[in-house]
This record gives sequence, structure tokens and C-alpha cells, in this order.
Amino acid sequence: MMRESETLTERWERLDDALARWEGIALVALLLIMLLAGFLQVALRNIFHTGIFAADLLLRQGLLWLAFLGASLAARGAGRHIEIDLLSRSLPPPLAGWSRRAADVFAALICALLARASILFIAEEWEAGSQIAGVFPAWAFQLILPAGFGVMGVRFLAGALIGRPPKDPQADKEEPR
Amino acid sequence: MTALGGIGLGALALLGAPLFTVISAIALWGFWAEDISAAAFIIELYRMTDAPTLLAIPFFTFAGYLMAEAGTPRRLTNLARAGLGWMPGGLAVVTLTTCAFFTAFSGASGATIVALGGLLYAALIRDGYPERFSLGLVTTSGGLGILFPPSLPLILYGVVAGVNIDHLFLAGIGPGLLLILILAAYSMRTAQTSTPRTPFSYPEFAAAVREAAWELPLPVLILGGIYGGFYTAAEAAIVAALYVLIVEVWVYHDLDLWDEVPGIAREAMILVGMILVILGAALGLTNFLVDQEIPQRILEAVRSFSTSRIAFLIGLNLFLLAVGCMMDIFSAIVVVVPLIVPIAKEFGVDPVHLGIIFLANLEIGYITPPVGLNLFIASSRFDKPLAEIWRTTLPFLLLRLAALALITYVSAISLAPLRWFGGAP
Repeated sequence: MMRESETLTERWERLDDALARWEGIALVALLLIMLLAGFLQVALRNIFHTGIFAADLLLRQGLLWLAFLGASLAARGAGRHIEIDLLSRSLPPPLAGWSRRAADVFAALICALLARASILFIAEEWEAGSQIAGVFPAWAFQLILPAGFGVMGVRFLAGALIGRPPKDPQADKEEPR
Repeated sequence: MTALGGIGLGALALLGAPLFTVISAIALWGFWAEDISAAAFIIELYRMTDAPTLLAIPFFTFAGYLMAEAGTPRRLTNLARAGLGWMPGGLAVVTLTTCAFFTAFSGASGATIVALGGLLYAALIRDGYPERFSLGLVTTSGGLGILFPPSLPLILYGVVAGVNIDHLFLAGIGPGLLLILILAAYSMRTAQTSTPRTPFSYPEFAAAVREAAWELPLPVLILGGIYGGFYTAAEAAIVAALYVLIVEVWVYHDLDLWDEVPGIAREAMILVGMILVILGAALGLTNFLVDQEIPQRILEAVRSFSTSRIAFLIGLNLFLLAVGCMMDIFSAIVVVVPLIVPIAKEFGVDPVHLGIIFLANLEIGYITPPVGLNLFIASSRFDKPLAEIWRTTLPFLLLRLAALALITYVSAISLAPLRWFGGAP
């Protein structure tokens, strides 16, 4: 029983690492593409009085993706999301561990509800045929919402089941890539 | 039932549930109780994509993180030392100015203490500054500078309050300088007798300027572009980020494009993601609260207490000090600003001035227990107990409270530049 749960933990961690690697690649690639496209837009407008079609609208959709990819990565490891966290700092270690687990269960539950709400939202948008700049289907951009909340939810759940490493306020970084 | 749920949520928040889940839970519950589809919450969250200025946040953060990891802290410190080191308490003034410049870019995420703190603390001790003073100074300086453009809290306030970001950028400069001047005066007085003064050397200064020559134009690139009408604040962030990337990678060769930049970008976007999900959740909650006419109810309650503008401002100061003790500045802005803006308008407080009051006020929260972020970072960075760090920041805390009073009750410090440059109020 003990060994089985160990291998399950390891399997989850391998999956989580692989997912995080792809999330990281997507995040960095998206940021650099947005950076270059945004600069091109500024240059074209100021020099040639023209621009890239729908660039401003697409950049704003890109922001949503940056935000949810980043937020999803923040739910890993020791957990880096911003918290109020007045009590757990002063709790003795075993109690602090359990309080973190309770908080993680709650966070997982809320993320599940948010993922469900996002799917309802996208279904409405799909039916209404919403478009970005009159060309691109809006739902394609909005898919990051349920995906982001879903992945965060799973990570919080894993934190609740497996437990999290302690936080270090200075080295506010994950292991280097 | 409601009370029970509220207590439960409060307890979970204090036990360390991510803030965005706590805010979302309140909003989802509200929508559910009013029989509104949960999709309405996501509609509000998705409004994030309607705010063009928000795009400035990832790019300024990226630029700030790049500079923190490159040689910028060292170059800036050298320049400030060569330029200001001749003054009594020169190194203390150097600490204040470099930290302020740096925080304006890195967004007050504690990066300043990590990037610059060690460097400056060691230099202060070496020059014979008292240890207590040096610790307090470095810890305080970590939050300094959020009033200067293009700081993230400034942009976030502009987005949430619906205030023109160009006006906010101008309004922050006076109060920001005032804060530095007050702290610098105190540092000079304290350090006057005990520390050596390095005479000003022109060749050294020129060399330091040459060394930092590629980074110095950055404020001009950002502010000149915005006020010259070439680009918006968001586009200024894009231009600045690309400029910094090119300078650090190909001019200074401080960072490797393949080995280092991706990791830095990823770290920066994690911070951005954490802030933006809280913003998204707060948009959902605010919509619900406005629907329930909560701001009006607060306004009536406040009015029944007093109708004077001064009394309102005093109350606001105290309230925000309490908020600053409990929440970090980003969360405080997205949660509290929507509730306060309509009330402040009723009391005749300009929304631009209100933004500056908010930031000057909340900034103090960085060095107040129990959750002052910079206290924790400094405690861990310098390996000193939390209580000792807090004691060392106490005189600085009092000075900042005095500066806050000036900024709050003399609105001209914030608003005068706007009048000169033909801004609105």
C-alpha cells in the first residue's frame, strides 16, 4: 500500500514536471512573439502610418494566456500564489502542514467550480458566435480559462494529497530549469 | 449560514488559501445566492482583455527582471556612488536613489532587496555606517519607488480605477521625490559624523556614466515616448522590454539569450500571472458588489459618521494602513480601489490624487508586521530575526508616516505637475 502510493506520487511528479516544461516553453515563446509583434506595430504606425491587422486585440488575448500559464506554474511546488496567510506562519510545523492541506483542498474545489463556470461561459460564447476582430472565433482564445483553472485545481489537489515543501521567502524561485 | 460561511472563508484565507480562490469563492457564492449563472463571473474576469493598459504589466515586469539579473544593479550603484558619494551620508543617499529607480521597474516584488540589498548593505557596513541604521535603510528602501513611473502598482491602480495612466505617471513624481528627500535628510543627519566622505572625482563619475550609458536613457525612452505621443503606456512597456533585452544580451553581454533569458521570462510571467488572476477574480467580485449597491451603502455609513473631507482622508489613511498590514499591495489595489473610488469622489478627492494616497499608504505596509513582505525578505536575506529587522525600520516608518500625511493633505504635491503640463484637474 505504502509503496503503491509512492509510485503514484512519483508518476504525478513526472507528469507535472513534463507539463510545466511545456507550459514554460509556451509562456516564453508567447512573450517573445508578443514582444516582437508589439514592437513591429509601434514601428509601423510611427514610420509608415500602417499596422498589423487586429494586432492590438490579439495582444490582449495573448495577455490572458500569459496570465493563466503563469498562474498555473505558480500553483506548483511550494505554491507561490499570493496569500494573506497570517496564521500558518505562527503555527507549529505539523499543524501548519495540515492547515496548508486544508487550504489546498479549498483552492482545488474553487478551481474546479471556476473551470466549470468557464466552460459554461465558452458554451454561451460559442452559441452567440462571438468573434475577435470579426474574424477569429473567440472561444479558441477563451479555452485557456478552463484549461488554466483545471490544471491549477489538479495541482492544488496534488498539494493537498502529497503535501508541499516549505516556503522560503527569500529564494522565491523554483528549481532552475 | 452566511455568517458560518464567512468565518470559514476567513479562516481558510488566514491559513494560506490563495487569495484569488478566496475572492472567487465570495463572488461565486454571491452569484449563486442571487440565482445568477456562474458564467457571469467569468464574463467579468474576461473583461481583463478589454483594458489596453494592462498589457504594460508583463512587459515592464520582464524588463525589470532582466535588469535585476544583469549587471544593472552594480552599474547603477557605481554611478550613484560616483555622483552622490561626496555628500554627508552619501552612501545612504545612494541606497535610497538606486533602490527607488530599481523598484520603479521591478514592481516592488521584493526583487529590489534581493538584487541590490546585499550589495548596498555590505558597502554601508564597510563604510562604517551603524548596523541598525544600515539594516533599516536597506529594508525600507525595498519598497521605495513605487510612486515613480512605470511601477506596476501605479499601472494597476490606473486600470482598476479607470484613471488615465499618463496623469498618474506625472502625479507620482512629486510625492516620490518628497519621500526620498525626507529619508535622505534623516540619513545625512544620522550619518554625518560617523562616516567617511569620498571626494567627488570627475574621471570616476565620467567612467561610471559611460558604463551605464545604455541603461540611463530608459526613463526618457518610456516617458518621452508616452508624452511625445509616439506610443501608449502599454507600447512603451513593449519598447522598453525589447530595448533592455537587446542591451543586456548583445551590448553588455550580461545575459545569455538561450541559457538565461527564458528562465527569467518564466519567473517574471509567474509574478504577472499571480497578480492578474487576483485582478480577474476581483473584477468578478466588484461587479457583484456594485450590483448589490455595496459602495453606496458604505458611502451612507461613512456620511452618517462625518461629511468633512479631512475626516474622510484621516479615516482613509488609517483604513489603508490596516489593509497594508494584511494584504500585499497588488491584492489591496484590486480589491479595495473599486469600493473607495466612488466614495472618494463624493468627498471631492481627485481620483489621480487618490491613487497616489493609496500607493504611498499601502507602500508602508511593506515594512509593517505581520505580513510586511520586505521584513521577511530582509530577515531571510541578512539572516536576522524578524523582530530585530522591524525595530531597525521603526524610525524610517515614522518618517514615512509623516510624508504620507503631507502627500495626503497637500494635494498640490501630486497634482501641480498635471496643471503645469496641461493635464486635466
